Amino acid sequence: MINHVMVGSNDIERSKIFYDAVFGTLGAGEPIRNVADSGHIRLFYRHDGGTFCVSQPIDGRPATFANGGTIGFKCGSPEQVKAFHDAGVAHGGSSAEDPPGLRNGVLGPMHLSYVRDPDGNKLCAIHRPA
Amino acid sequence: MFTHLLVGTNDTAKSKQFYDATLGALGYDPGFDAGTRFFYRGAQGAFGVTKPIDGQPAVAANGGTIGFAAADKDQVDAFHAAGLANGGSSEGDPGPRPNAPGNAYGAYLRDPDGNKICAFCQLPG
Repeated sequence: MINHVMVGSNDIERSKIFYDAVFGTLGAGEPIRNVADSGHIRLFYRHDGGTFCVSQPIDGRPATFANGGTIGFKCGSPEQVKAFHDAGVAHGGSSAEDPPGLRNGVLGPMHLSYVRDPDGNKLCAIHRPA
Repeated sequence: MFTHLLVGTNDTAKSKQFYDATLGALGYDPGFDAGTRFFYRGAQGAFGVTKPIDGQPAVAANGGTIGFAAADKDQVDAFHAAGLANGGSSEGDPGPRPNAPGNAYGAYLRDPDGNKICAFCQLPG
């Protein structure tokens, strides 16, 4: 369904520190660093069939986060859900919503954590028990 | 990598019309209506549109884009046309995208709330 997801950054090196740390907990490697024709820098992380990109906005205006927007990442265990969150908080992010833990939602039990990246983009780590 | 993506809306009816049309062009069933939010399910994840849970207006990101996978050029073209006919605006007409990996063909839209989306396929050959 998803070809790629891109978020904006106002400080690409700050973003790299954050995303290297959180995606490291998922087992992803170093991003591909790309410079667009316009000169804007972007980082592409490829992992588990998906592509996530952090970019300086190509319109030259500040990056802003969406209100109402969330990007959910698949985790392999409850420990990974917490590690994703904790790595984000330790590398320039901030905790969002409830602390990492088990929720019983309409779709059944899920381990969830929420963290905002240094630019405020909201991320969610999820593990759904088999 | 992804389990789901959410974007915000200030008008769920208008937004559902837009996404039913654009994602319908990519082969997805109409969104499942859960009241203040609705969802489309794919083989490897879900896409949802929601009223922000903080009660504040939905605001589009600057720098953010959600890219949907299309099967072929016809789907990309249909996705873009459906968006323009259902409350969206063009953010890039359908065409080859030589800066993207492979032999990419894509089109960009803004949804009725300003969220930026695109559809991409790989051209044969």
